[in-house]
Amino acid sequence: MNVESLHVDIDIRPLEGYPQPEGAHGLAWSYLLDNIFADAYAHHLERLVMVLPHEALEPLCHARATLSRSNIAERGKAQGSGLAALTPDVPASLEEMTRFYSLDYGLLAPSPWREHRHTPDDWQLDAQLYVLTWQVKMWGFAMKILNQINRPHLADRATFAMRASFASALPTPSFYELRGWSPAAAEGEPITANAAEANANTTPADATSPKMSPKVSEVNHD
Amino acid sequence: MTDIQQELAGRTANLLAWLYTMRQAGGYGGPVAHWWQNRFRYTGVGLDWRYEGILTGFALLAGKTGDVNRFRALAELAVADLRAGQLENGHFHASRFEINPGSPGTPHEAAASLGILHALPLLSDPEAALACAKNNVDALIRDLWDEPRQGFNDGLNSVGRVPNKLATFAQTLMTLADVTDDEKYLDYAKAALADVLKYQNADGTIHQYAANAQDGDGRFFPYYNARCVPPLVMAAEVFADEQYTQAAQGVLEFLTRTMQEDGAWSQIIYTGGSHARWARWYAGTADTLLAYHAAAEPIPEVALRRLLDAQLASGGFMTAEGFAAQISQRHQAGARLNHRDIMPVVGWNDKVLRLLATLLPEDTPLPDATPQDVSVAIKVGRSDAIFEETSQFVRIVSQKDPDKVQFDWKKSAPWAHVVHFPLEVR
Repeated sequence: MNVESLHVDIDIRPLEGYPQPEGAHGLAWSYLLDNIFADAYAHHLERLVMVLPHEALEPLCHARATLSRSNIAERGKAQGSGLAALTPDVPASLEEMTRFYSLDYGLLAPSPWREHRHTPDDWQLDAQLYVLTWQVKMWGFAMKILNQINRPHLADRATFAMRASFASALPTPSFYELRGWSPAAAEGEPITANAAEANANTTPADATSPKMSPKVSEVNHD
Repeated sequence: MTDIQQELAGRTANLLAWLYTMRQAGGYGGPVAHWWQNRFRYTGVGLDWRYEGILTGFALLAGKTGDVNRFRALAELAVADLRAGQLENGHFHASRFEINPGSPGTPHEAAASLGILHALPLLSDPEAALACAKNNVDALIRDLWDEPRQGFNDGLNSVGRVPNKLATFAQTLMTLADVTDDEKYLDYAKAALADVLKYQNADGTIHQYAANAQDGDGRFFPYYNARCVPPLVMAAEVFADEQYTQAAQGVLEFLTRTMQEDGAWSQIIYTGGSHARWARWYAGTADTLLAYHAAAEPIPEVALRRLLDAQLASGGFMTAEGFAAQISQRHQAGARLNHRDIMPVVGWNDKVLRLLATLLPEDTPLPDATPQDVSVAIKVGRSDAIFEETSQFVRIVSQKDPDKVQFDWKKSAPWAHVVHFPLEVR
């Protein structure tokens, strides 16, 4: 089978005090990176430039790139490039890019990282995902108390409640805010104020719309 | 052939047909629904415990069906997946199942290597396959051995014991020792088994986890307890030591007294007696029933029937029932399944394949498979939805408005095309 993997270029710009991608932050990065790579695959990108805030993220990106295999006979040769700006202050050059992924830092992140927000001119916001939400803190506290008073069956239920509210397509106070963008005038891309509708009405045969979590939620949470 | 034998052969044929549809570049892929986490976004290859049941199943079926060429070809393809996906450090990529893509995964890598070892007699190049398994096992020893405590940790950077995973690793080590005549692997197997016994209570139950290799956590999963039985039975024979037989018997008594009327088991039973009743496994039950078989005990018929009836028309077996109640623990048996319940997952169906291949009588050719497309009413959150599966895709759409796609995965793709909440929840 003739397959090709996504090519990634990694640029690490370490931030002092940045959390290791372990535990809750490890789970958060699985949401973030999986959404980026899934979107890059959906858009059949050939190359992804990634600006990372922590060196431990590099192997996680390479693994996903290796596993993002396309069958050339089935999908044709990949084309186009994406930029994933995942640090707070990267000067994003979007020249020749066909997809842009930005990571902003929300209310639960240290204040210096919250000062800069990526707002690319002439780019269309397609989707956004809020990760490591305030509810994680709340349920985490409940888990701790329930374990301390030796109620493991209730602590387990709190654990899964925490998981269910870990990420959201709806705006909510969180540590990470991931956004996916497309060039506003890109041919073949839907220009719509409600990407969720575009996504929700997508059928596999005619899909061209972005496939990250849509920016407006239309599906119930458990 | 009896009716049940015919049924087993037919269900095996359809399961194999479904399994073929789950192959993509590099191996077997698909979403994962599990107790701990889920992966509906990443749908790519997983070089994890799915290869235990796949390879063991192929090896058994080659002997039982007489179709050696067919199952040799399948086994060699599966071994090629693992060899191609072996990293320079000996681990496999994407070996963490419900936490994929990640590496290294426990007990997943040891389980995959066990699958290789079981398939060796079938392969045309067993030396290359053995080297792959041995490299992996050596990497696990190197990276997980806890010298001060003379045992194996569960992760690279933390001290802790997970007895059921240690049991799987011990089975791999004992099998590797048999193949290589290298007794050092038996010493490591004994060390792993010592921790399995250490965390078993007098009533037969085995703790799920011991942080810092200290006290057990008071959580007893019937499923994970059952996975300890075949390794314990093997250890009793390899080491000619009755304590392993007694340990296996203790687990079986626990399983028998906690089996529910309809042949299902709670997910967790806690110290003190409370249960996490939901979700109750379907496909995973195969490992519980295999425990009975390994210990030469009769398999509970009601549990086998419940498992067999969980096969979808596509040939895949459903994962569970009651995942919607994982938090509330309030659920009505027979209520609509949710997306996690119904999703057939390779890393659960491999267990069914292994069980069916084990139970299939000798000299039983498989009939032609008769898989069909699936369309089943389910729940996604509070909404009614339709689960659709063909040989090409899995799709979940709103029942009220079928144009609203909530999940869409083309089976050849490593990432799902559309994943809306709550399917995104890990």
